[in-house]
Amino acid sequence: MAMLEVKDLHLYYRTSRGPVKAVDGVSFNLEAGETLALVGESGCGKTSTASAVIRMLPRNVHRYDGSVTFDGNNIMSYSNEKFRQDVRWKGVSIVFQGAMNSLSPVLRVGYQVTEPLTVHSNMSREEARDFAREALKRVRLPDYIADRYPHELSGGMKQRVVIAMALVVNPKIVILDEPTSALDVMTQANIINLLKRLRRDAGLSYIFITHDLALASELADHVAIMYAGKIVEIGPSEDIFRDSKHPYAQRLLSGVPLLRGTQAPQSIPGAPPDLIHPPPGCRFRPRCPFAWEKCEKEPPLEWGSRKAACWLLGEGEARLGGIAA
Amino acid sequence: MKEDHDVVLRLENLQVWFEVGAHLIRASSHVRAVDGVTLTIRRGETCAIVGESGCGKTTLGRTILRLLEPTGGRILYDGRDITHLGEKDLRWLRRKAQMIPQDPYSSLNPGYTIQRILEEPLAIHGVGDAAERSDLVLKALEEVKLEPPTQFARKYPHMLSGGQRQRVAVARATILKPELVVADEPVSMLDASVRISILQLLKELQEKHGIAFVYITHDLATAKYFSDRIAIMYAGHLAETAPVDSLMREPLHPYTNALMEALPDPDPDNRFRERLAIPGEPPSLVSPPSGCSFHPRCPIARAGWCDLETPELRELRPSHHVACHLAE
Repeated sequence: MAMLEVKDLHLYYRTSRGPVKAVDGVSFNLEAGETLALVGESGCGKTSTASAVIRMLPRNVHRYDGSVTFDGNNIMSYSNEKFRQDVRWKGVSIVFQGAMNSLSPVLRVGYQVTEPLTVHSNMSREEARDFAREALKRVRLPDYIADRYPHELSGGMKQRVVIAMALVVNPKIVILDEPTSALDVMTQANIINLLKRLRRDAGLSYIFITHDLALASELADHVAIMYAGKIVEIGPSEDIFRDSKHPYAQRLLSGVPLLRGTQAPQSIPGAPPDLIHPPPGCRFRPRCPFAWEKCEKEPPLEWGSRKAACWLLGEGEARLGGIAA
Repeated sequence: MKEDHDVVLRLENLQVWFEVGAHLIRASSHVRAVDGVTLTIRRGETCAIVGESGCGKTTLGRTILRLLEPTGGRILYDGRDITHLGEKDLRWLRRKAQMIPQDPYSSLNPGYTIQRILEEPLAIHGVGDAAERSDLVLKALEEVKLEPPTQFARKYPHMLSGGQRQRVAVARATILKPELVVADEPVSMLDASVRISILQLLKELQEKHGIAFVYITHDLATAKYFSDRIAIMYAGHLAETAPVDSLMREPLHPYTNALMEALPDPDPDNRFRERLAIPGEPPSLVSPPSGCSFHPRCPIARAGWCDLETPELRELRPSHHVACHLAE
């Protein structure tokens, strides 16, 4: 059984114009020790999916349902208090996007790293201190950093601190929401290397949220491509990066500027749809060069061994051949 | 020096130091943001300046436009020395050289309509009458593919997406038909998929109007596809300058090499190996290391040489310059 099983997850936000369908029937599994990358453009619902899994919701929730099974337990049925005590941080922790800029400027870094322990493990400050030093060591920060304030650290060091905060309670799953997007190339490479080592040493599972496919390939065992609130293709990294089936996934890949290739990157014409009134049927249809009548009906995700929500995978392969020729 | 009509801008040993920490009892020190940069920009070409944050690339971009005054060296625009000209004598330059800023969320006045934002540079430089200006605004919007233009002209910045805002910033920078545009990280705040379309737009405008671009970025991969030449900057110095092909084929500076190694391409095998990443952080620009500023992080630095002598840019391949003692 998978460590985390998400089935038909929905998260809609209430707005004055109507509900925003940010997460609209998302399903995926995450095995122990494995990394799933959630990839898509901004506004596609990848961060909302993470918020829904870890139940950190804003006030304007319109709809929140689906099934989330963590370690065999249906955590959607948990009360908020039970969820906070048993799941959030202890089971599934998160490195928020831009978290390094949310460190309190007036508290020493070591103190801030103990916070998850005192909140989620009811540990005393004194006990927590040793754990915090240990966590800082795991992210390869020297001891004295615990006594520093955030403004004394570089961006890469601050990012290590927030990763330490996510690890200090020994979670099984860590959600990484764009963990390196504000960092320089070299610092980014160092952080990714660190994440690889932590995964190897502690058997962590990651849900890695990013809009950068090249970066996704640094960690992902599986990749889920999201578009307009839905997963349009999901599968092992090899399938997605070498032989993606969904036209959106293909276009996203051909938009990546390759440092070691020669193929010039292509842009995707058009913009993602409004999630208040998404187009019926396939949501990529208005931007898809292969769209035909059938696409007005929503395509299924599963086609034999491949999962890509596109009619081209059925009768369409022949059709695709026709267009290519 | 020989006149070269192809050259739109020339920087000679440019130096921009900022005074910091002046104190009653302590002498001031300097942040050497740009420290001896020599660079030539030709008409209609794109020169990328690539480096990590804090390497001085933004200061260099702002000084090129004379938004900052250099503390040393010379800036020649069209052969004319503009190093220390006052704002009054720079009005002609303001029309010929423009800037596209990084953040499309803070660079457009939220209280102005797109129409007014684009009309402002025309009004300031006294181009046409009101009707002609309106016409130019619509044309500019069409050129950056914000269509239908009449509809976009009436909107306010908050009604546009990040990509659309950046298109407005591009229209504003090109509406006066400039010869030179400094684009400071024009796409780093945008989604990967939108980035390419904005860069393609810049390329299109360049081909149409012969604009020279200085593309400031930390992203070597986009620089590869959207520039003719690349200058790698580290700690206020140029480490390497070369035509794109030459640099990609044979990076000569160890820092350029490290940048390339650190940057992944999409490849499912990446997850099985660690990236080669040099440790450490770029040095402080207040007290930069002696000798080659890269030597404390350099995997091949030689003691007694790299830490003592500052390397000069040397042309080791045609038009390919590198500032490294050990490159050959």
